[in-house]
Amino acid sequence: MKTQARVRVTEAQINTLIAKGKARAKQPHAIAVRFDSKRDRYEIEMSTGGAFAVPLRALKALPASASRAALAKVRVMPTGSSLWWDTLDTGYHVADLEVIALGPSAAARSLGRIGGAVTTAQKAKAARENGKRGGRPKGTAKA
Amino acid sequence: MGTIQSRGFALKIFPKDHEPVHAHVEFDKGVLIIGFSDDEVTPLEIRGTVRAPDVKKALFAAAVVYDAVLAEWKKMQR
Repeated sequence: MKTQARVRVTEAQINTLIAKGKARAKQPHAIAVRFDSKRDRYEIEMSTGGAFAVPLRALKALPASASRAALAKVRVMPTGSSLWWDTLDTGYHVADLEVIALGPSAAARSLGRIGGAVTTAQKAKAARENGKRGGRPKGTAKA
Repeated sequence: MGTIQSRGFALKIFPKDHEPVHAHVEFDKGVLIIGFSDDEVTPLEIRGTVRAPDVKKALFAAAVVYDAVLAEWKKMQR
């Protein structure tokens, strides 16, 4: 039997999402994509001025039987967080493509470094509290 | 494959995407992400600019293709 789904939403929820959406649009995102048919790879240009490339063979969601014309018909979706192939009716998120390009372990290291470098009020407070207890344990020198 | 049409809206489902079940609806300057669970549709995220009336229209369009989106999601996550 067909489900008659309910719509669950409030005006406040919509307004919050709209405000967050505008802020999110300022984050780094893709601004262009090009299929390099000679090298069989996609080149993605970012709003930061940087760019990266992903080999076609790594994109398993694209059918192996796809024509070169269909593979080349790719576009950046609004806000630049995803790519979409209209003819093939499939897509990839740019964040996932970055992981494919860098490799999962390199991507995780980068994210870890970025996360660790973030300074927040909570982290500063925790550091002060830890300092009252004597701070980090002193290392014992070994000859 | 990844797109389900409903009342003039195209709901896009990405392969190997993260839970919860969701679809992306494109607008001129933004994307609305709609969640599908427990027989309900709800807005999860907006990226860029989407007008409030468009959010509501897209949600009602999504509600009538609930089953189709769930079926497509299963197919796309294999």
